[in-house]
Amino acid sequence: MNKKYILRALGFSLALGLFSCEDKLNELRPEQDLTEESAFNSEATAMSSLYGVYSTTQNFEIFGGLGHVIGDFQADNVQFVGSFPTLQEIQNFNTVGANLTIQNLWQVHYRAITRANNVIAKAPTVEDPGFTEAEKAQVVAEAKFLRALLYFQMSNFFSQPFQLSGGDNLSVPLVLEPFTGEITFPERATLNQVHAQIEKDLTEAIPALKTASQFGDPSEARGRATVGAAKALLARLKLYRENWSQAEQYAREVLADNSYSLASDYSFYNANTSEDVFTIQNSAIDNGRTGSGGLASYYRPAASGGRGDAAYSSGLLESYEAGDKRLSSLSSEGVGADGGTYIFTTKYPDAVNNADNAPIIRTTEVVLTLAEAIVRQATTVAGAQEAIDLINPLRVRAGLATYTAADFTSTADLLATVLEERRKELAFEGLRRMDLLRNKMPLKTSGEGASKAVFGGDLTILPIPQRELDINPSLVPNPGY
Amino acid sequence: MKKRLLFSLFIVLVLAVPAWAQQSRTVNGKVTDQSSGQGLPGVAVLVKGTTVGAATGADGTFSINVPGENNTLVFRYIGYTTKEVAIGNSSSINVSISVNDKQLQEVVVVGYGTQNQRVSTQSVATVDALSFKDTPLTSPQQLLQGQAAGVQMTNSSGVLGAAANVRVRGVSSITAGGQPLYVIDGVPLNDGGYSFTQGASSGLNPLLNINPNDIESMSVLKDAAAVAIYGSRGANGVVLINTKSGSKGQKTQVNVDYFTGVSEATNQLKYMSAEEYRTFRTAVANARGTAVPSFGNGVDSYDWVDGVTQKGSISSYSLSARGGNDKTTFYVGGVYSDEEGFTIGNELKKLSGRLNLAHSVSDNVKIGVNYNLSNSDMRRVGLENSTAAPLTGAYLQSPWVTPYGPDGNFQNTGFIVNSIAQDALTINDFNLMRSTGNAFAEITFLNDFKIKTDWGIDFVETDAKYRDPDILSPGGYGYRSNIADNKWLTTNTLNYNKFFDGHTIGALVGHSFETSRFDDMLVEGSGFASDDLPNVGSASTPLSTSATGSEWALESYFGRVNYDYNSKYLLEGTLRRDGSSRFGANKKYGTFYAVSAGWVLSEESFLQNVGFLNFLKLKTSYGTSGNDRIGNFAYLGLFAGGSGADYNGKSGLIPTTVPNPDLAWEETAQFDITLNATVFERLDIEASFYNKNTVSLLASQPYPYTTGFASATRNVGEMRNRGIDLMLTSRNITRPDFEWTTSLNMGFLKNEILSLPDNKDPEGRNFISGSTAQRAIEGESLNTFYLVRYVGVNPETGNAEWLDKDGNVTTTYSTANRVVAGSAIPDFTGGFTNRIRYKAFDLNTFFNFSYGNKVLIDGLRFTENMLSAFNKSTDLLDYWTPENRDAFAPALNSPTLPNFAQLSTLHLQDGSYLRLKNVTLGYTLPQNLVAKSKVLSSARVYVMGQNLWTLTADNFRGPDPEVSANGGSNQVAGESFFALPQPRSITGGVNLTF
Repeated sequence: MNKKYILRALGFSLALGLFSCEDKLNELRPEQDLTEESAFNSEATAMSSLYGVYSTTQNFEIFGGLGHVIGDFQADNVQFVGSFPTLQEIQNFNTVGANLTIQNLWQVHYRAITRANNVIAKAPTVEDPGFTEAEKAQVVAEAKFLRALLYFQMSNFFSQPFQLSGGDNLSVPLVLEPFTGEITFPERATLNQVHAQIEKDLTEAIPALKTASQFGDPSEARGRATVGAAKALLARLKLYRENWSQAEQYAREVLADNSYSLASDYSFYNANTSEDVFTIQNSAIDNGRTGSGGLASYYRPAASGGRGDAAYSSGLLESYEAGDKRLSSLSSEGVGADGGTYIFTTKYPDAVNNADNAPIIRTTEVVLTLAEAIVRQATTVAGAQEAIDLINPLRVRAGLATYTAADFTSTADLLATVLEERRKELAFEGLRRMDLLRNKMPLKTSGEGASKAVFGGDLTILPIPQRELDINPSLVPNPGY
Repeated sequence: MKKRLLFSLFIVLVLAVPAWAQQSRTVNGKVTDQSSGQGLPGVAVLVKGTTVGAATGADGTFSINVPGENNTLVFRYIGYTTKEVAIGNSSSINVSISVNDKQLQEVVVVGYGTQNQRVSTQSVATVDALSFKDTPLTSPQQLLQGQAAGVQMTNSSGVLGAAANVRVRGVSSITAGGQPLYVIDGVPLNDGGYSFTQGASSGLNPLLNINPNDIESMSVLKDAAAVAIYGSRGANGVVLINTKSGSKGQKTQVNVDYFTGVSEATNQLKYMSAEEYRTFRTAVANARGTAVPSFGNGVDSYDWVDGVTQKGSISSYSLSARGGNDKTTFYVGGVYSDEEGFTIGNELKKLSGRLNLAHSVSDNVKIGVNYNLSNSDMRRVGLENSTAAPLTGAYLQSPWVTPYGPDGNFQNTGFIVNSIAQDALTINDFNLMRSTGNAFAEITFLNDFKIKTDWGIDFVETDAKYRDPDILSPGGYGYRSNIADNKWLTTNTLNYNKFFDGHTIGALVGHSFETSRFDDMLVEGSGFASDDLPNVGSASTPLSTSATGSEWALESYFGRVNYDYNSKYLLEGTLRRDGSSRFGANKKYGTFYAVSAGWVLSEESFLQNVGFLNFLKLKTSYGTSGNDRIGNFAYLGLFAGGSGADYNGKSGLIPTTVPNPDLAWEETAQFDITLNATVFERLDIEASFYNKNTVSLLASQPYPYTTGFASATRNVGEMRNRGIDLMLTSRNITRPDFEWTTSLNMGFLKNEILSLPDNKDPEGRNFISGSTAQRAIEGESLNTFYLVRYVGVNPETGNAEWLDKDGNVTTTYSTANRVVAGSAIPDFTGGFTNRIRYKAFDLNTFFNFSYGNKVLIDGLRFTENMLSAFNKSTDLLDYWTPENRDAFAPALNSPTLPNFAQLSTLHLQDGSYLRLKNVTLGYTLPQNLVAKSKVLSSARVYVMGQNLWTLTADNFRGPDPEVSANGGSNQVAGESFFALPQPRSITGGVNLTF
């Protein structure tokens, strides 16, 4: 009896083993991912793919920290006291093509660019009755804005400025189509070609974008691509290309929108106010500890939970007049990564969660761009009175005396003041490096690597990553690497 | 050549079939086990001097026709002493035979069964319990080092519980998993990543929860004949672990083992004192005209390396019992061990219990269960590749920074974590629970058939808990992570064994289905009201709330047929067909096979008179196996959501992989020829030559980043592993009171990349990068270092100098000058063991060695960086001055100084070593003394030293040449980033048997 029972059980289990499991091989599906067909099949998924592009720009390598940090420490605003070799190399103008930080920077920028390409190509093809043509156009326009912004940052890092050779020099490869699976080996475009594409994307985007006021929620009005943001970026582009009249025109158009005005004090960081033209919206879950850090992790000292890597340089400290609130209300003393005591910025206070928003374009920058464009076109100080009137509110906000035309001996003198105000206002927001380069000034005048930091110096721009040179035979390296 | 060999074997086989004898008489009888009296099925009954034979039935009875003149029967059974009985005039003969321990060792565990080593045509290296029973170990992983030719095992780090890099006859994959498949009592172990990024960069030892005392034998399946039965998972070798069982009618034997010991680091890197550091950095700053950096108050100093190291400790208590009656056999084993590493904050406690039970329901029905439940509790330390690891931080921390502030309390030391405060205040706990086991039933019927159904599970549950206090992370920070990886499988086999007239035929067919589900959950938060709130639930800001899951399934059909004629001519064929959920519809199924043949030359009459030759066998095999260890859905183009894709509170989607519906198994074809011999009754020789070719390699084809993707998994490329395995065992002295055995095993390996996807270096060779320093290059090995060559400091100028691509000396460092600089794969590795027993004393020494490989001590790039704020190697004090021209480091004002620490051959070292891995001295108490105790049957005390002595290459500048910081990574071998060196330990213990 025993035997019969066991035989029966055995037969049963054999049958179970053989016949019950076949289908599972074909039925198992990923649980955390959608397949390609379902990623662009509705308005919801198309919108999600657009948010995915914004999300990618939150990465450390784009607007999560590195972009801003390099823009200030490969310049004279930041004393880099950290020890991470790949960053130290950049600070000391001693970088090599194998620098992993730069390789990652390149990688993640193109990751975001190709995700934008995907949205630009596929959003219009989505078949969803609820997804109107205007909505599709807006999705495409936002992706184009992001693409323009990304190419702008890339061209700043990897090519010599327009001022060196009028923009005929090599910049980065322009990839505008979604990846189909077929590997392409794009060549580097010239700086003029990259700039032309940025202008094209932005001007095409403007008609379909919303204005800030059309977004109800402040975090959307400041954190999504808007008409104001696109025009402000065009103003910056024109400024970098020394097209002063167009820079002036776009800046004026931005400031004409009453969504943008100067804040009365410095509590606007992280607050989505009229100071923000375009600001990446971060929360604790976006840039948490499991990621690669964030702005605050570099700019805050250990006691606040940061690395204490990027302190005020002595030159920047000296540039502030006594009582300047841009120093007194936006800094604190702390212990740096090397154990020394330094002054650190408080623009990005949250080193524990790295949840600080990343300012990309501020109203103050647009004001300063307008002021500079006016001065550049003026022949006399008196003719640039509007520029003086533009910077005076910034000085009042900083608790400083205002200027009159009599304070300036020449337009060059006034220009120097506008640039100095720009430095002090926008310190640690990633713009200093390009402001020096486009004014043909050395990135650094003392310390390790200063001799290589001169205008036009090969090492003032980043190397095309060795990995990319290895894989893509169409790429040529930057000279000096 | 191999085809011709197979053909000639076949011819020999056909010609050798002799004519049958004519006259005969019938003899009947029964064969029983001497100790239990039970009938033994399947015993070979042979008529001596003829080819006539029969096998016993299920109850042990037999019937045989004996040709005319012959008068002796031979009874042969695996694991039993062969017995010869004169027939005389009787027509009925009953025989009892007894277990032979020595013969038992000749049984080799193979996939889905066992074989007699003498007639097996598979290449299997066996590590049996006898070879390690006197050695205290806490993980069976260590048993794979230097014990089996062709198995290269490299410890990745001295961190407790770190995975080792195990390669069987070289690695057969580039991107897909390259570690062998571990199978315990027929249950293939799950091999997911269970470790939240802590400890060694290599992840956790997959055998962490296995108690070495429970192991009866470990078999490493090496050639195609052995691994083809594991089909799509066999290409990187298979390690079969069989656990202990009791014997029928055995008096219950109880074993108690206890050992305890201490450990310390074998070696450390050099580092400066605070005084040296301040002087050096001041000199650098002055020479370069830069500001002298801040050194705090200028007088503080702290020796961080000393502060984070301690005397490690280990103690282990184990108890086991085995025995059985005529129907039931059992083994129970339990162990508790407690280890503390030689760096602070690193502890491992293990508790494990096993029950193996088998019961004969009747003469032909047997059921049983093997079950192991284990629990490991760890206190972990930060990832070695981060400044949160105690020793990494200790080498890098400026020596004037102190763990305590002026107020005497711990202070936050910033980017380089205060690991002394961490040890005291941070919770970093990890718990791993694992239940592995199987239940089976087997029925023997019609004498020759056996059907078996086997159901197995491997349930892994992990729980990681982390909590930083306010001082280390303002407001506090914590996470909790749970992972479950639960597998079940069923294996159903039918066996047929038939012996007749000298022919033995064995056949196996089977079906198995295996599926596993991996789930993980993570919650992470910051902002705690107090350090006294340990759980994430008390955090004010949630950082992560994640739960993911994934599942795979594998369905297989397999079969094996073997044939032997008179234990002289051997043939075997294997076939397996696997279907996997991991591949697309186009490539869901794969078929793998092997054929093998052997010839026992020593059974031939022409070799019978060669006195010194006791055994000689030549065997050869050819076949295929595969590898399925890629992600579960790598064939689909995927878009992920979650917290990696969201923006401003809205859910996002990001593309993560490129679709590839044609993604298929990679396939490894292996040829093997092996010679086994025993000469002078004391020397065993095994020599194998093998050639493994892997085609359609699952490789991450690197994409230009301008595609938006870094790489995609493709079936591209071809790689060859070719080598020789050599094992020699010599029983030098075999007297009753004096035994001395020497064994040597060596594995020679040459790995070569034959082709790769189109991705050319400046020399026009395709390559795939593994790390910044290492790549697979066509025509070179998988682990080729590709570096700028460093020359030294020019005695005239004080500049550091490198070679450019053409070999000209240059003071410019450029990554464009990188060239092939050596391989991380050794020319040969192996082990050398001596066991001596003299009267009551036993002495066991074991050396292991590695030769011809390079290792990259990557941490030197940081400790030899002359500009950074990190602490530095004292080697830098030997910098160039006009008075010190033969210097290690460049002049302090040299323009080459900033590049001195750039990655170059300066950091690449000769990784060859010879290490006294283990020496054990034991003393067995005299029997008369033991007998007085009434309960004890034997007692032994011993002392063991591990890693007591290491011979490295001249000028080796790392802490330890035995390093593989990336653990089981295929593409990155022999690199170290402050990986903990192996511990040097002294252990003492006692074994008692009751």
